[in-house]
Amino acid sequence: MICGELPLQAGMRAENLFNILIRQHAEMLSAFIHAVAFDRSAVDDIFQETVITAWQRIEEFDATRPFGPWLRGIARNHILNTARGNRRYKAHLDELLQRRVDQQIDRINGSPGDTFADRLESLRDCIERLSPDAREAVDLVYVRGLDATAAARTLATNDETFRKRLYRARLALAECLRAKSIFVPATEVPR
Amino acid sequence: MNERDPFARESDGAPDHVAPDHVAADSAVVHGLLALLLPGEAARVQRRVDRAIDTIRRENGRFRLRVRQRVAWIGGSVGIAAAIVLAVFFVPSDSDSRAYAALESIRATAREGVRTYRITMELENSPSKGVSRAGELVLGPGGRWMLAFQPPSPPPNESGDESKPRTPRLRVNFGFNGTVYWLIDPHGEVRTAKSMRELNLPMFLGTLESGGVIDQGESVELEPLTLESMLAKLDRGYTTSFEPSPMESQPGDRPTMTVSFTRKGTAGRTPGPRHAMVVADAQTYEVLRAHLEWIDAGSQSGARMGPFAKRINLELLEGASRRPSSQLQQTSDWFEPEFHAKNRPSKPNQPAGRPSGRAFQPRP
Repeated sequence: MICGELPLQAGMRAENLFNILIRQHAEMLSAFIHAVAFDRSAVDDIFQETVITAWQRIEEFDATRPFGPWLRGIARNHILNTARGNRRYKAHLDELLQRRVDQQIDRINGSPGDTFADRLESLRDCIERLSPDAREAVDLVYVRGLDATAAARTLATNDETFRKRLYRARLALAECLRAKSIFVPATEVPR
Repeated sequence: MNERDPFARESDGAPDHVAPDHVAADSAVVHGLLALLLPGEAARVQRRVDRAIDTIRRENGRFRLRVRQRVAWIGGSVGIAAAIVLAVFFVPSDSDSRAYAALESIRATAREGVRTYRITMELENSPSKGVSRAGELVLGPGGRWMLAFQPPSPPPNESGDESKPRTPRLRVNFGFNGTVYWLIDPHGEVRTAKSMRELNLPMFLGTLESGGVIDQGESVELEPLTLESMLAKLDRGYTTSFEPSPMESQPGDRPTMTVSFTRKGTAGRTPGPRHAMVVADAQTYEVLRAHLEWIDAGSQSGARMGPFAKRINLELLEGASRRPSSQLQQTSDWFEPEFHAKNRPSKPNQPAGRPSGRAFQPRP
């Protein structure tokens, strides 16, 4: 028996277990922060603050409940903190919207696939089904990584027109995901 | 609002504010999912995790769990390497926070690269009083390690006649390749096992085991324990202290840091060392020397069935940065028993490194 084996292994396990939990939920958490955060540049910092807070408060976590929603709750608080003073954004984060976002992400988590990314296969299929204009907008921003202004310039259109096109593309994708039962139906009231 | 942000929804999402909540929410979720498809996003996600976990480890002194003691470990994650070289130490809440930070850095450094240490063990409760063993310990990534040492010298014959040639002393090689433990005994027999106890260890290694310094290689990552049950076990520990070295005593000397450990509690409560000390390079955090001492070992000897380690010293022979790249290419082979069996000197009437075939099964 090694010196202090139990505490050693306990400590290693605690840290490793937390590490594993975070890695298992990292894509989900990133998607959530991207979905809700005001600014993409804030994603890294919010992710970091969320994980550190989760570690600090791990004793408060009810192990009988799923880890993902608890983690998202912490992320949401950090996002709200970054949005102080921005009433419009705070409205964007209203309770109903949050519950709906949680509802959809939980639904994706429960769909088949080993990882969160695996579960996005349906999304790729939905992208293929978009109209050429919508697919082009998605491709420019989410695959080629252009910002909206650069994408609009690429398509020789103005920002506003491009952003609306992109928004309609997202709505079409959401509809496609609802049709595939990846998203909950529009009529389903959040918990 | 960052106008160049392609994901900003103030403009592109203007309809969000007039759309029903669920439409806006679904659009937001789609946006989050699409963001995962961005080139390089998977790597960015990993970096986010690594950064957060590293921050937690580095600043753990600030992010304490509400338990009386904290656990720190340094060195490799499994095997004798971690157990002997860097061992396992508690860091109680009253320990020097600099010691904890130093240990975290040392631990992070020890995970990477290949290093060779000279290991010297002083044994007690041995048939030969004051016997010691010396060998080399090679630590690799992924918890892999290899220990080579000389078995005890045969006792001189009673007549004191030293004229007869002695059989050359053969090395014992012992290691972990990341998957299985293996042993090549002085007779060249190779054995492998999934746990160290299955290896039928020779006396010296049995000593280590009874001395309480061998980790059984349990895969802690797979252990399905809850945090609560783990933390409940934290009830004993060490007091740690940190001491940076004075300025370079001679030109070219590497500045070092020393972390010392003193076990709390009464003798005999645990088989662990009473005192330990780790000296590391203050810039690279590479462990240069380590010393572990069981000063109360005698009080426990009656409870032990064989010899045990009283002191273990380690000294860095070859650090990760000094190892030739040609050797690094052989890293994988180095931790395999076949490599050492092949390079073992022949015994009379036996081909070099021939496995016995009894327990040895080549890995695919």
